[in-house]
Amino acid sequence: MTEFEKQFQELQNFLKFDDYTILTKRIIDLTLDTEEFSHYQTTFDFLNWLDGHDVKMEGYKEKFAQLLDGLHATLSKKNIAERKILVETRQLEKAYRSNGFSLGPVSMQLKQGEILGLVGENGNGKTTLLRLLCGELYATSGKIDYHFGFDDRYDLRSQLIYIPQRTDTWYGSMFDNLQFTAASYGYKPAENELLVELIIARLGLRKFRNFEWKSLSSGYKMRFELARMMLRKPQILLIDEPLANLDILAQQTVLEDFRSIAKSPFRPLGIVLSSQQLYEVEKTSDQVIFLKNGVQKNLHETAQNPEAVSEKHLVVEFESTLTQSDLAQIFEKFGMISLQFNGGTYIITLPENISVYGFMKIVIDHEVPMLYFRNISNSTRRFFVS
Amino acid sequence: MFKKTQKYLLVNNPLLWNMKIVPAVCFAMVFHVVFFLIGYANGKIDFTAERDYDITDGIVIFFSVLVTLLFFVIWFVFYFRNNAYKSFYHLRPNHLFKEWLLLLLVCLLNVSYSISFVTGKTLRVRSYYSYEETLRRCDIIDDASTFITSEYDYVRPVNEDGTFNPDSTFTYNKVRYPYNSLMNKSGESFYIDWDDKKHTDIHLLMQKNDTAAVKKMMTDYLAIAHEHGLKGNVNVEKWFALTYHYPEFTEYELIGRGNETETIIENGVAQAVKPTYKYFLPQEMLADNYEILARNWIKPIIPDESIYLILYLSLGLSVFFFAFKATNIRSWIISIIGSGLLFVVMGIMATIFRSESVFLVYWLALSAVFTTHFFVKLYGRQDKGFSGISLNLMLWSLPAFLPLVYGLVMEIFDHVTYLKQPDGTTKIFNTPQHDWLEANLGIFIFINILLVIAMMGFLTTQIRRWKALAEN
Repeated sequence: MTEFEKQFQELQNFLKFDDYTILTKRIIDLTLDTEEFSHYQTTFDFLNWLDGHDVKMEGYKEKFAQLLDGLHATLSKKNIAERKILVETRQLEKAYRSNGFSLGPVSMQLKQGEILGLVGENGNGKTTLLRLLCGELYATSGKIDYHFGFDDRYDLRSQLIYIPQRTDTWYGSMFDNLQFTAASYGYKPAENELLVELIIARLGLRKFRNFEWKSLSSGYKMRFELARMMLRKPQILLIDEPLANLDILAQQTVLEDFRSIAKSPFRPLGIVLSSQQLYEVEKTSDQVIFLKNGVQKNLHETAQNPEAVSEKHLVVEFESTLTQSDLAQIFEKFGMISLQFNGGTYIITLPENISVYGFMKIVIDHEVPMLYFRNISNSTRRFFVS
Repeated sequence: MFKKTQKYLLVNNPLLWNMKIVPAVCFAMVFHVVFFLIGYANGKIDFTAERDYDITDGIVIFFSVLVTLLFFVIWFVFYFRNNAYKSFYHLRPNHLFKEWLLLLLVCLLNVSYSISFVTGKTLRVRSYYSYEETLRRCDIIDDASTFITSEYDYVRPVNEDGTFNPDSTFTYNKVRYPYNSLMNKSGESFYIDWDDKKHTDIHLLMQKNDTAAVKKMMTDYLAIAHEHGLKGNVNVEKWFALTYHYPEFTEYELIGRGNETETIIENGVAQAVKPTYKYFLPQEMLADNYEILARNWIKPIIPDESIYLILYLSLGLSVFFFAFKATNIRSWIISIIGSGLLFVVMGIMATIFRSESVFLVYWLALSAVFTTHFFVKLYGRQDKGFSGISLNLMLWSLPAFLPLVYGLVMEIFDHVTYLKQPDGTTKIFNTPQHDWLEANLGIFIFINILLVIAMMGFLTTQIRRWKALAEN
């Protein structure tokens, strides 16, 4: 089963369980994947039809199914893009003379369709690494290799889109700005409007088409940036703290958008994002780099980083009303290695022979009051607390 | 309509949309028409009034500058809203050159309102009479002035004791005439390069005693005056009788150039006002107003100097604004302040050295330094550093670079030689190189403009590359 078929199956399930909101978004993704004007028009007409019809209406589901069939017929003939390496860094270092901070060495590799999460506390080099990757800074030493074609450095930078935490102000209506972007990228006049309509619908911006920058909330500004990025068809998207200032629901939506955009079977792109929202980033990313004082720490061994800080013990973060000594009394019997209190939560390290189920059994057997727990043995979270 | 056009451009030609070319050109066109109409209205000649000091031109130029400033302020707000170059949109290598050319066009259209004013004014003046008719009338007024109060052509020699020699004479066409003869009056000096065939030599007619021709001239003169509603107090016969006395023309009544009066003062008290001359003709008004007609036919509608000024002003403004687009507001403002400081240094140097060459070498050297710094940064795989400032100053000095070289070469070859001539006069010579450069200044000005455009074609591709350098 190809990647497309797998994703299409997922869409069929959305249809089966009447999950129309996500299905509509994914239909737009597939429409954009076709890169065909006729599909743009059909889906756009469909979106207009949806605006005036209720889910309870007869034939509602069939309309979706019909559209999916049309898209499937076209896309099943298209070649699935091969996941090539986009960028590779080797022993990349950047030292600032002004404050003495130094990043690196960082070695990493990013392929098409991959999301790389950069995590770490403030001032540990996440933004510096993003700026190095997008060409906004030169490295002090080491190497960055881009494995895609470009004519000159400007052309290279036009294929690397960096969205900073504080995005630049833009003027005029959102729709005009997006049409300007589309026209600048050579979309034909006829498809320009349709494409922009589809992309703003994809990112939930339809209601805000005539809004100006100052009238949009942080979340919608971020979505606008994503819409613009989608029109620019970059090789790599580098995005700094996209989840900052977003509520939890908006964070999940944006991350889901990243996944869908990056993992298009036909137009995959690489995404590097930095965030403090550790769990959300880990959930979405294919690989995570933790930066501590500018030094790279990887969870897993890779060809670029054979020295991964692997964890064989069971590390659990949990919240309980018991005191540290009460908890220690219980877990010491099971060979507890350490128990740290970390501002409201406990981090316990248990021997490798105890699984997470074993941990749960101890908790149940000893009736330990448990408000929350999470296995962080394979999470960069343990880098934060250790 | 604007909205529809802009929408069309937005999806078909984003650069034209971004630069708001259609509204900008329409704005400029409307104001060109307005200034043309103001000029056309201002070109009206009141033949019944004497020419007075006219401040209209100054006021109109002031307002044209005001409109230009107003336009640029509003236009920039829209133009700088979107910057595809700054956002690293995919741009063809010649994109910035096209953008600069459009900027040049907008600047050209918006700094040339005074040209439309002058054109309107000149065309209105020219609309009164054709060139030939203007010449014919000026010729008549010129001829008539011999028979109206005016200065003598040849100044009467003065004796050592300061008195005039009453017997002194001058020669015209091999005949001697006394200094006080009407033959010693050649009349008005119209701003006309007379063609001998079209210009009547009234003195020759007088010498030949061609009374019919003289009377015809007087008749034509009075007809012109009558046409403009101007009056004198003599008719042809009277005028002729009062002034025409062949062969020496020394007996004549003074005919006033207008209905002038003078105040008779006795014992420091004004007693009465009486006409200065018993007889008068409206010569002052005719001469004044036909001088305007003659001048507007002789000078080109748009003088070369105005064209050069407008072209260089547009060129200067276009690179000045383009620098803002190419770099950023910080570099741009620092560059403006830096330029001011460099001018202060230049002023100090000029005071110390008192040499024009020092000034020329100073600016040439600075231009070379900015250019070198920019290209070292660009090809040295270094971050931008302060190269944004160098880029701005390089762009701003670009239109002046060759003129500075021209000025320096002129200075080098400027060797004046004074040569006494056999007739006692002194002739001034310079080197052939200097004379050649001076003679070809007009061509040089246009060549420089073409070279600046060509250089911008090259530099804009380099600026695109520069943009991609890492920040400092």
